[in-house]
Amino acid sequence: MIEASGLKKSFGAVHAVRDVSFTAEDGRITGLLGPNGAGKTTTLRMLYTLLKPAGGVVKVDGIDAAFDPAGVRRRMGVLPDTRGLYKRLTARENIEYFGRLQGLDAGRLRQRTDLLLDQLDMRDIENRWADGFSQGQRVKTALARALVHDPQNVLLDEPGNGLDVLATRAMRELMRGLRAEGKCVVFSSHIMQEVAALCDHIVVIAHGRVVAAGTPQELRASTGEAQLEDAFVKVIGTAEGLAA
Amino acid sequence: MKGLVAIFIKECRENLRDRRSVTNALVWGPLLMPVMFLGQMMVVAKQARDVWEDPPSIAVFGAEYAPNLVAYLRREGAEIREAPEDATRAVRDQVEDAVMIVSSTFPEQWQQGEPAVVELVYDASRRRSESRHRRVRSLLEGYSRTVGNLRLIARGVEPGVMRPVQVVERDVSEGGIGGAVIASFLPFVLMFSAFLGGFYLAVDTTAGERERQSLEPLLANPVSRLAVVLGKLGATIAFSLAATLIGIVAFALCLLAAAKYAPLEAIGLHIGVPWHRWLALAALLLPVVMLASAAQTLVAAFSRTFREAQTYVQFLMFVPMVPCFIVLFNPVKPALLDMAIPFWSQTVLIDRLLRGEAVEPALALAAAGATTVAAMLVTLLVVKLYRGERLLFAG
Repeated sequence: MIEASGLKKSFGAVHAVRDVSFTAEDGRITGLLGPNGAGKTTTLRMLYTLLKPAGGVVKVDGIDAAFDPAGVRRRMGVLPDTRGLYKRLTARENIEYFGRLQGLDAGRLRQRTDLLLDQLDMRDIENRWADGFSQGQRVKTALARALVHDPQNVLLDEPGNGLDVLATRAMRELMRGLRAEGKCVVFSSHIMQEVAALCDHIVVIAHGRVVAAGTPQELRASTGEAQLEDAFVKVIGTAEGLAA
Repeated sequence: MKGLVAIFIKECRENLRDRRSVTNALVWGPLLMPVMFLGQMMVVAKQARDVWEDPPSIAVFGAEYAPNLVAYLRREGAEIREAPEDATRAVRDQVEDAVMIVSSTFPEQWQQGEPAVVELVYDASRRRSESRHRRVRSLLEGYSRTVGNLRLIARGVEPGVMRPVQVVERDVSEGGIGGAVIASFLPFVLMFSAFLGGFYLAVDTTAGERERQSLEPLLANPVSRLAVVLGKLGATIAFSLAATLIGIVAFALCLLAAAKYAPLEAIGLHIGVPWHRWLALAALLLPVVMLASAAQTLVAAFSRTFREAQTYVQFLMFVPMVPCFIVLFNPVKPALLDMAIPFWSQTVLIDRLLRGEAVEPALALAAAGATTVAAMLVTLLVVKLYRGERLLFAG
C-alpha cells in the first residue's frame, strides 16, 4: 500500500508538484491520469525515493520514505519513465543484475528470472544482447527486472508508451495478474482509454494538484458526465495534453 | 556491500564486451608508447656508443700533406679514410659526419713553425656530426699540444708556462641527454596509460549510463549511492590499473630488448634487471591510478552529455604532461613539499628511480599519502554529486 500526502516539489521557479495526496490500496490498480507536464512523473519519482519531496509524506506499507528510503525501494518494483537497458548484457543478465541489487540469493534469483522469462514470453531473447531489441522487447525486459524481487508495490510510469496493440494487451494482462495476486499497482498515463480500461481507482492530476479522485463510477457521478472521457476533460478544464 | 560487488562485476563485464574500448585502453595505450620509445631509446643508446666507444673513422682530404699528423691519429686508434672531393656537399648530404681538410699550405707553414691550418667541416645542427667533430677536434688538439710542448722544450722553455690555468672538467651527469628524456617521459607515459585505461569506464558508467537512460532504474534499487559510486569507480580503477601494469611490463621488456644493443648505463638509465625497481614503480603509480580514475569519474559525472564528458576527460589526460615537461627542462631534487602535489611528486620520484638514484622511503610514502587523500576527496565529491538530484536532470 502506498500513501502520499501533501507532496510538493519544485525545480527552481517551476512548481512541478504543488499538492498531491492519494492512497493506493493493495489488490487494486490505481491510475494517475493527467496531461503531459501535470506532475505525474515527478510524483512517481518521489514515491520511489529518487527525489526528496519539498513537503509531504510518502509511506509504503507503513514505512516512511524519508527515514528508510532503501526499505521503501526493497518493497517496490519500478518501471521508470527512462527505461534504458544495458546493451552489452543479455536480457537474462539485465534481469539478474537488478535481482542482485535487490539482494536476492542465487537460488531465488534463478527461480524468479526463469518465472518472469516464461511469464513475459521472453525465452527467445533470453541470451541475446539487449542491443538491437525492439521497443516491445525492451519494455518486457525492463518490466521483468522491475519485478524480479517480487515486490508488493509496482510503479509504472507511462507503461503503454511505444507499445503496439499486442504488447499493450500483454501489459494489461500482466497488471491484472498483479492485482489478482494482491499487489498494489500504480501507473501513470495521459491516455484516457488506458486508464478507463484498467483502473479501479483514478487520481486525476493537473498543474501539480489532484483535481479529482475516485472510482470510474464516482468520477462520472460527481461530474454529471455519462462518459468517463468527458468527465476527465471537465475536471481538468481542457483536453490539451491528453490522448484518447 | 553485495550491491557494490554486483555493480563492480557488471561494469567490468559490460566493458570487457566492448572490444574496441578494451583494445584502446589495454593494448594501444600501454603498448604503443613503449614501442615508439624503444626506437628512440635504441637510436640514442647506439649513438652514445658510436661516438665515444668505437674508434672513430675520420675522412681526411689532403692526408699526404701531413703524414705525421695522420700517423698520430692512427696511433690514437682512428681509422683514416680518403674524403670525397666536395667536403661541404658530403657533410650537407650526410654522406660524411665530419671531414678534415689538410690545407696544401700545411707542409710549408709547418716547416716555418707557423700555425698550420687544418679545416674541420661539420654540421652543427646534426647531433652525430656535432659529436664526431668534437671527437676529431679533441684528437687534433691533443696532437697540437704534444708538438707544441716538444717545440717549447727544444727551445728550453718549460711547457707549463703556456698553461697558467689547468682546467679539469668533471661531468657528473650519468650519460647523455637521451636517458634524461626517457626518465622524465616514462612517468608521463605510464600516467597517461592510467588515464586511458580508465577513460571508457569513467565516461560510460556515469555520463553514458545517464544518456542511455539506465541510471534512474538503477537508482530505484535499494543500494546506497555510496555503493553505486564505489562499485563503478572500482571497475574504472581495475581497468586503469591493468593498463598501467601492462605499460610497466611493456616498458621493462622494451628496455631489456634495447639493452641487448647498447648498455643503458651509457645513456644514464639505471633500471632493467633489478626487478624491485619495477615493483617500486608500480607501487608509486597505484595512488595515481586511484586519483586518475576518481578525477575522470567526477568530470564525466559532472558533464551534461556523453560527448561533453568525453571531451573534458580527454583534456584531463594531459594533466600529467605538465610535470613531465617541467622535470625535463628543469630537473629538481625532490623535497617533502613537492610530494604534496599529485602527478608532480610521482614524476619527480620516478625520474630519480630511473636515473638510478636513491628514492627516500619517507618521500615515497608522503607522495602516496597525499595522492591517496586527493583521490578520496575527489571520490567524496562524486558521491555528493550522486546523492544530489542534479545528476538526474543534467543533459
